[in-house]
Amino acid sequence: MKSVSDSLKEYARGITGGLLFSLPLLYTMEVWWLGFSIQPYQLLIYIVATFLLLLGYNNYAGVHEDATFKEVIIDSVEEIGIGFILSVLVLWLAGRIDFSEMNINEIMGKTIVETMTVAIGVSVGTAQLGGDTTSGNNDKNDDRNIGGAGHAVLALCGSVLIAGNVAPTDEIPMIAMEISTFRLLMIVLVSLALGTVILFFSNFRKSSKLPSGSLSLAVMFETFTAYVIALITSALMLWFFGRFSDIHFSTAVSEVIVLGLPAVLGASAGRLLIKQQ
Amino acid sequence: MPSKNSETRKKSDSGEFQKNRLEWSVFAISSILLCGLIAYLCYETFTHKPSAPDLQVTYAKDSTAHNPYSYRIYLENHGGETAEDVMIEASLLNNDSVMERSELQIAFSPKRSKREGWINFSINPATADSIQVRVLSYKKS
Repeated sequence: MKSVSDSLKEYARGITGGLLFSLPLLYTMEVWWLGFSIQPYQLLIYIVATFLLLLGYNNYAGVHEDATFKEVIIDSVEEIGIGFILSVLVLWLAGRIDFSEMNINEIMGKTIVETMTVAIGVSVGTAQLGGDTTSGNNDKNDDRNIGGAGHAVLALCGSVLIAGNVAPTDEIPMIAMEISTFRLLMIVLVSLALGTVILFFSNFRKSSKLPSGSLSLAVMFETFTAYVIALITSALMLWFFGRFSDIHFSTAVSEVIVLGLPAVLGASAGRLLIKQQ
Repeated sequence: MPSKNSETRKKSDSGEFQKNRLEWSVFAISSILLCGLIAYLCYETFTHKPSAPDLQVTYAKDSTAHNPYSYRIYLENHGGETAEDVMIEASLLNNDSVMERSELQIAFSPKRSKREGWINFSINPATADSIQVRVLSYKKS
């Protein structure tokens, strides 16, 4: 059985990770506003989507490599619980929730919207922030074979984690409304270039075993996959944050491409998250 | 992460896992929270009826040393939707003519929540017949 001090260390990593990745969102007013304008059914969808994402992440890259599915579920539930408590704490510290003045709807809305990103942060933090037993006895990690679905889940988590911090802000629609088509095209190219660089370096260790032609082909394939995942996540997040309501289709596309840049960084770095463990 | 060592790995292989009391309590609290959240949201989803913002504004005299003619404004939204950019107007009336007008803008009035602010006058409200406070406008959030 794991000692209490080991568990405490693990929770400490989770809490610091959760705050590290999600404090920008806890300090963003557009997210607080979303908390009181969002409909309850949207929050339900949000919780379910986050839970599925956590299951995926914990299954493929979580802290307990040999975890059974039951353990993965337990870890995911714990992460949402920790995320909720952290959100209440930070929002209260920041004076964003006030139990005497505010209605329960407002408090719950704000907290639930924040909880989900904090939970993903907790999950990544627990798995990534310098676990003391990760060095030495885990040679198995490099050939931890997670397959295509696993990579897709990691890309999804990475893009939600990185793009989630800017998705709710007013800057995305502002950039999208004012941008020229030429710049939009450049953003697509820069996104693809960044994705390629990140994926190339994450594949670097394996590259010596592969002939150079098939490596570049593999990197190109992965870059496109990562970019498509990034665009899908961007679209879903923008829809969730109400950025698609009452705008023209072309502005919506611009928004997706603008958010696709941070999202593709996260999607390709999702691969690094597991490799560097 | 002791689960990475061989001892725990064996346990996982045999389909068992052991957690200490701390972990079980964190899991228990988390499960209660998560179930509570889902139950609350399901309740809200089924009982929630979309309705337009329904703003009620009340006021009370609240003078201070530097603002002797100050009024405290209470804005309450009884509706099922948040109102954005709420403009509140307060007028001092004398024989149906406006002596002075003052405005207060409140960024958000969330559904079923209260917000407060102050309005100042330069004329002593005691010299007026009446004071009228009303919501001028607000937009959909």
